[in-house]
Amino acid sequence: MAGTGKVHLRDADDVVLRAEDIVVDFPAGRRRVHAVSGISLDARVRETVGLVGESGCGKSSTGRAILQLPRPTSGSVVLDGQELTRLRGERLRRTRTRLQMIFQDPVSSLNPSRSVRELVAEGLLIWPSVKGATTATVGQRVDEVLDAVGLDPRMVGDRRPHQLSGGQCQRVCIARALVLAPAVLVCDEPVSALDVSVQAQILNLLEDMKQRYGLTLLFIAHDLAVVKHVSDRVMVMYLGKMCEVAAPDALYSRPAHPYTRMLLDSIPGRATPQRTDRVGGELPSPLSPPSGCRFRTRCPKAAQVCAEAEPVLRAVGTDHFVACHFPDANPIPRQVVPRQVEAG
Amino acid sequence: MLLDVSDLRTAFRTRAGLVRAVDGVSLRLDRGQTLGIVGESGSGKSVLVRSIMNLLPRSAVVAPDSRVLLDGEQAAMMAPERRRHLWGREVAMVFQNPMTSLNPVRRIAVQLTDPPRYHLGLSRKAARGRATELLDLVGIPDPARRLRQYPHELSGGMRQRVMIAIALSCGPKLLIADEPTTALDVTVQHDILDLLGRLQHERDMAMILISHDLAVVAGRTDRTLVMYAGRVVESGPTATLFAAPRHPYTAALLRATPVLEEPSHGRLEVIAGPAPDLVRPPDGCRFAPRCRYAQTRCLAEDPPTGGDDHGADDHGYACFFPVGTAEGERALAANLSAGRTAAGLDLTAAAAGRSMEEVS
Repeated sequence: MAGTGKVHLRDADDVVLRAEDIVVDFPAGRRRVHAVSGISLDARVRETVGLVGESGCGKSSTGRAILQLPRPTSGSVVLDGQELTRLRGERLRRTRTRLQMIFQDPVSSLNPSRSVRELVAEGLLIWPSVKGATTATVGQRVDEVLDAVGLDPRMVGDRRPHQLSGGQCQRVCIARALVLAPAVLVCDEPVSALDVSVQAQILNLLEDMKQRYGLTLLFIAHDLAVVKHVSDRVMVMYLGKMCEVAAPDALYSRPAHPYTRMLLDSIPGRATPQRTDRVGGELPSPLSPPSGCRFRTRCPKAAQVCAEAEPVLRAVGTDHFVACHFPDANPIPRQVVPRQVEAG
Repeated sequence: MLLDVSDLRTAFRTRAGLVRAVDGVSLRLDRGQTLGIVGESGSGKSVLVRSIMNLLPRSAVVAPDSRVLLDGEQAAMMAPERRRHLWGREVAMVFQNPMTSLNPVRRIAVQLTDPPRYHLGLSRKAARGRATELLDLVGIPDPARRLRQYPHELSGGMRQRVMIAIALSCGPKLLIADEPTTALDVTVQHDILDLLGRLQHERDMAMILISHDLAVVAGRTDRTLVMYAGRVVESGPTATLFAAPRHPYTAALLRATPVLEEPSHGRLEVIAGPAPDLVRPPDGCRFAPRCRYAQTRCLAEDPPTGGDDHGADDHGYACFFPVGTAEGERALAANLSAGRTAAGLDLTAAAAGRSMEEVS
């Protein structure tokens, strides 16, 4: 999987975000950690692109690189036709208001000494002119967006983060992003810290907000079921590389990459056949990733060529791309077991 | 009967008052059986097993008539000297975060040989040999080298394997795993759950597996117990409970979880409202204020655990209007046509379409 390649990028007019060959390296003593090694992705207007993988696969670093937080080591990020990696200073900050991000831990991403209204208003107060607000209308905009995310501004407007539940804090974070009317919202594990019932509320809310504000989402998560639930297109990453790109149904019913299959077979509680070709082991170090395909050390299909040549993304179906020398050519559709809970 | 808990009540003294974290829980576990405990944060699942283990802080109060029989011996509020013989030898525990449960400044060898030397009186050398075998058993390659290492030199999955090896080192009859894989990646989680299942089976050990993730418990346990606000709301054979949940809370939890087999962009069921205050829990059923089935009776009377309780599959649930029964369907239909439940929960389409998390 060590896939590179850009064959999955689309040539449509409504592509709002396009990132090509993103590389993110971090210094680690005298060596470098290769967090992201040549990832390309794009997103169309009102589309949700899911980025899934295990810890250390570079999914968060990719999301942050898109926001230039920090700027990628190399590669290009184009938002609405504008190249972000070459922008500096005020122009970058101004353009970046069109990109917003929400994080995994909603409580720690809010300043504990500010009230909810102050937290949500902050971006608008910094950029009133960019966002068509005047000092007088900021308060009104804040209340509108709080109401939209399901918080009553009169009740919570003056509260501070510690007086809110985790779910409510995540709503505040979403409101704070939405108040700047972004084109793209990057969600980095937005529901991983929440209980199941609260997770459902936030996922529903993100769908509503996407409809209401015409948002494009880049949804980063490790939970495959959550990613499937929200996405129009799913990208699977491993150790800084792209493995597979497909529409959610194709990816989950006909995974072509051995790693995607391994991830799916690992989901607890699923009646999977006892697979004997499972290779144990854990993620190799991103300090010295394996040669060729980075997944080969854990791959049941690994052969000599996998160590020598890095596979490149190629199409295996309509809007279905895989970076593997031996993809499942004729993948057996996975058994679909409908949920048996009676409607209530 | 290896473990027999009845009417266990554990509360914590706080400035706000007595927090009733576990409020009248009963459960039984046979040798070699696996029990899953699921519930959201604050449901009392961890306090429950810590009460069984006697691992509670000083602020905790266990009601005097609570009974925890471990192999026939009363374990609740046991004298500290006796307790020390219990821990590790009879009951062992694996925690969520292996980094904070392992001692960072001691080598794996020391941490793995201490329990057998203390409990089983093994010599240093014999304990060392046993440690090597244990690491091999839990699937750690090159055990001799790993024994000389410190916890920070191991990956998260390896550390959890070491924790499991320590837990197994004295051959406990009961292993309690409290969110053992929550901090781990999905592929590693799979391997760890496989490992636990295999060891439990080979050693005919009983296991309690606690998770907030229903799916973790679903495929790995004989029986499941669902907790809400300090109480058991439903318990039964795992397959039955997941296929045909009777308690509205269990059913709602299952429908709130995204499932791979369903199309994208569906609407997930939301459990409206906040979790109850455990200092002053509501009268009647504790789930009633958030329940779509709630009737007047639910607000006044505490539902006893009933159901197919004494039938062959021993499926119990504490609800007057269980899901999928005639009473339950009537109650839900009445609430839907009224647009609200007896507790005042808004069930209209407008409310369902809006995101609800009422401010308490």
